[in-house]
Amino acid sequence: MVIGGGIAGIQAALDLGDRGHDVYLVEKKPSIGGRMAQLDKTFPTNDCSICILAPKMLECFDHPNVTVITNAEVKGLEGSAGDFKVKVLKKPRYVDEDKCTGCGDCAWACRLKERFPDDFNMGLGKRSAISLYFIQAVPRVALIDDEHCLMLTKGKCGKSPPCVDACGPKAIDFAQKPEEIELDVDAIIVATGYDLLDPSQFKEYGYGVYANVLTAFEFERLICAGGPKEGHLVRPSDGEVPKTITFIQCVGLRDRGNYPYCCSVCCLNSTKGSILAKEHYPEIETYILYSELRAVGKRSQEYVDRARDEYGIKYIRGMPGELLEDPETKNLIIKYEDMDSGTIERMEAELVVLNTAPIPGESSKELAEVLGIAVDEYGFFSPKDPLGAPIETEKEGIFLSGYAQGPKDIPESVAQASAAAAEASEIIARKSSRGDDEGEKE
Amino acid sequence: MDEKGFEPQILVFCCNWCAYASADLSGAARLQYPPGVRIVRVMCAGRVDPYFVLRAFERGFDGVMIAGCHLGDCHYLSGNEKAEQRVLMLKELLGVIGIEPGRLKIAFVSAAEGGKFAKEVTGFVEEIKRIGKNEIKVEKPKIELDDLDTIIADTAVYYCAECGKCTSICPVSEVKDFSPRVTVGNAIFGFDTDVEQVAFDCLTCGRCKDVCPAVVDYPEFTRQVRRRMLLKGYEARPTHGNLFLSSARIMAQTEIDGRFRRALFEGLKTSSKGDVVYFTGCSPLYQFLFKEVGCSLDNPLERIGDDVARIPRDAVFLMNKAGVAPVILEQEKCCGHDLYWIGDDENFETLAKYNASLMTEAGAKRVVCSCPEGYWIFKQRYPEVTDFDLEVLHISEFLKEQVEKGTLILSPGEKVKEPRKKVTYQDPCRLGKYLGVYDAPRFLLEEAGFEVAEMAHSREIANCCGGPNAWVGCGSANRMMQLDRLAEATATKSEVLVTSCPKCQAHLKCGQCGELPAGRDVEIEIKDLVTILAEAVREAK
Repeated sequence: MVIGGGIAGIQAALDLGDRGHDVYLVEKKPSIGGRMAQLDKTFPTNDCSICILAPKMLECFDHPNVTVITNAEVKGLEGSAGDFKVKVLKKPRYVDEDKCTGCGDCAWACRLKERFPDDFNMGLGKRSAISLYFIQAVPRVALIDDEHCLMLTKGKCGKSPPCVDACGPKAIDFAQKPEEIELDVDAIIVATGYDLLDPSQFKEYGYGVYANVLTAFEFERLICAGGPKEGHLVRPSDGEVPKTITFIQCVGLRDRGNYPYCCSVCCLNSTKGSILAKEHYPEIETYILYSELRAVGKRSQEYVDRARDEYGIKYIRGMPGELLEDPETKNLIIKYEDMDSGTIERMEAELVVLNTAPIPGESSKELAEVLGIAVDEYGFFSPKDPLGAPIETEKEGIFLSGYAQGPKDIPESVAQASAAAAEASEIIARKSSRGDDEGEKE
Repeated sequence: MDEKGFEPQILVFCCNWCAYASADLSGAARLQYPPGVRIVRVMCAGRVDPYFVLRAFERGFDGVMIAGCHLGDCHYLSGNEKAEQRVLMLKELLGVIGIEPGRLKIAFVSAAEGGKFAKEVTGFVEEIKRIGKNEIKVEKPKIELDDLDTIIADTAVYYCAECGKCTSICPVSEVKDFSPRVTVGNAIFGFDTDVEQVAFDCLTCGRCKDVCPAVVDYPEFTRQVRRRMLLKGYEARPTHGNLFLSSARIMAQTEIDGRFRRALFEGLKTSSKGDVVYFTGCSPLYQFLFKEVGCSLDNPLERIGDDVARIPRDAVFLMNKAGVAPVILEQEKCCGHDLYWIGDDENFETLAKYNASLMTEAGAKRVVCSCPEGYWIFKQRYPEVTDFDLEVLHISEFLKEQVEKGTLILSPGEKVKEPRKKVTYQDPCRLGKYLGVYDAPRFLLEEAGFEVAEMAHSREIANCCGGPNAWVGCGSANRMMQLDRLAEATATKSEVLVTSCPKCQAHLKCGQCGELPAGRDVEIEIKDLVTILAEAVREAK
């Protein structure tokens, strides 16, 4: 079993499936894809993120050996390596997964059409009470939002719910109940990824107070052609294209009061964001305010050099202590100390992007308890040995991969996922060499 | 009290022109006067700073005499008149802080009056013999010096990553050559002198601490550096003649006469035992302090003293309106906040223990104060050095609670026809950044019908009023900060700048005085929260 359907989980499931093992891929969200599905491009090659990911998502879903279980969470575990019994709670979608074709007619028909913040688009877009999680969602099945749907909250939606009327294949089923599934597996790979820190606690940056302060993921959705603004980089306050964008690094990171580690991605992520902004609108000035530039990994420093030299992106060492909003223009006046000159500077930016901390998943501690494995002081899953056994846990048969184990980028996550898959096959191989393989899923 | 063999130690400040010459003459004439008299020559009696007097008492002198020319004969026209005013002010202050006012005397002697000099001095010594010995102990405790490394480790300075966030928003860095980041670096490199040189530049407003990713506690670092300097014998760079710090140190050793505070609350309902204590604090002393600063009756600075001194009365008035007759501690001493911040831990602890037991003896469960500094020190530091465990409330929190309970009505009602003024609010550092009280004062102002406009820097990012921390090191940089803050306040187009800290009020008002740089708009009324609320309640009545 693979827990978490992001790029790491997908890679591990595909590897195991290709090797002939049966795999369950359990994902909490309504679709697999994870954080990578929300990215517009990837560094350091500026490849379209979803273009790389979507084929893998589909391959995974269609793979004869892989069973994808979405909208579901692991709630219990018994047994040991080679003989785990896992309890999975599948939350109701209120839509029959076998019947729904993913046409989206229900979302158009919904009485509460486009009323609620769309969490896939980081709240920048709006979704109806019934909708596809996002356009490339896998499985391509709609989902009803049980917090808002009138049928589910009030038991009544006009004379008859318009989504039911609009649905051709009659897939909507308000009677669905949470389902507890018990699965027998040999090994488990944990690939639950990360959450993002809410930057509104940093009063000096004014996130949530000033309209034109975004997080990096909001920026990503904004500039993405598949995003709510179809790739038009416009500022929230007035819908105009900003002339200057400033990226602020390490928000909540390398911060002893919050998360002291380096996330290992935001230097390059801002570099990417700046390049994208320049490619969309060459006249935009982009600045990156950082404390230390950490361009680690293959082709990373070259990427930064190219951004600086070819695109004219300005890197400034010095973190801002405060942002003030100009009440008229809604521009942001950023105060920082330029560490090269030691002078206090003011910069006016029309849009500010905060690179907020990727943090261990909210429910990772709970999952760790269920699985009987350890987390570190931040909440990342602890490996058995950080050097010699970075993907094994103290519990035999449970492996780690991706950001849930600790900060890393996409290629590292993929490599680690493949390694975890190899370790998992070893458990199965050991078991079949003992001759007690009963064809259990992995 | 006339002890056997008690020979009073008397310090006499003599002006160069008359008094010193008369002392000389009395010597030349072989006139006898008691041997415990020490003479210090100053150019003019007006030169005698009130601090000289307090310092003399701190150092154990039994009496201080200032001797100058006869009134009208001053070689600098009015120096002796100023000295006389000062002595009147000082006598009042001495009464409050527990020193018999008779220990201070002014005499006017001409150069020809050698006999009069000897007579005045002898008479004064007799008077002091009657009053008795000054019981203030002079010795300072001997303490091992912390080296800078201990301070660095204690305040997380080692973690500084040089990101520059602190300096970019430091209100002092904005107006003078000062950088918390550089200072922290100097400390790590062991450049003690550089660190000590700027130890009194920091206002401890705490903005740097709030944004520091390394969680360096720069204000505490500053405090500990100051303590180290104090132990090395370096005197804090005092402002206002060091009246407050000196008074606080004296109070740590004297017995307080309750008459002053009893008279202060005349006409208001107070009690001697009960659940709620109102801690008056030092704001009533401002009336003496600012008389000193101005030294002339038409000086606007003097009104600052009176405006600040009325805060406790306004606070108790509002408490009375809510049906609460608070306990007043007639013999309360300085809360010790300022001594704590210059690193005088010993005197701070003495004061803390005294006040804590006074409050406990009164049977109190809660203590209310209108000064954010007292509020912070009771809440954060008293429990560390005493067994103080009372609930501490700022007056704004207490009044908000009363409004919510329905026992206090602030809303103007129908009698006040005109809509209330637009006001803006200055968040005091100890109340806001240190303890997170932002909403209660605004709630009260809105409840009373005022429209609250926010300055560009408000709440968590509020800037300092520009007041020097703990009455040390005020200078032109402070003035620039005051002017900047006033500019933000006037930009809100509010009629009143409200604050809930006596020091914010005094320092912002000080910024309005004197000659202003061109183009500076400082015209705005400044009031304490309880004053504006008390006026509103009186108006609605």
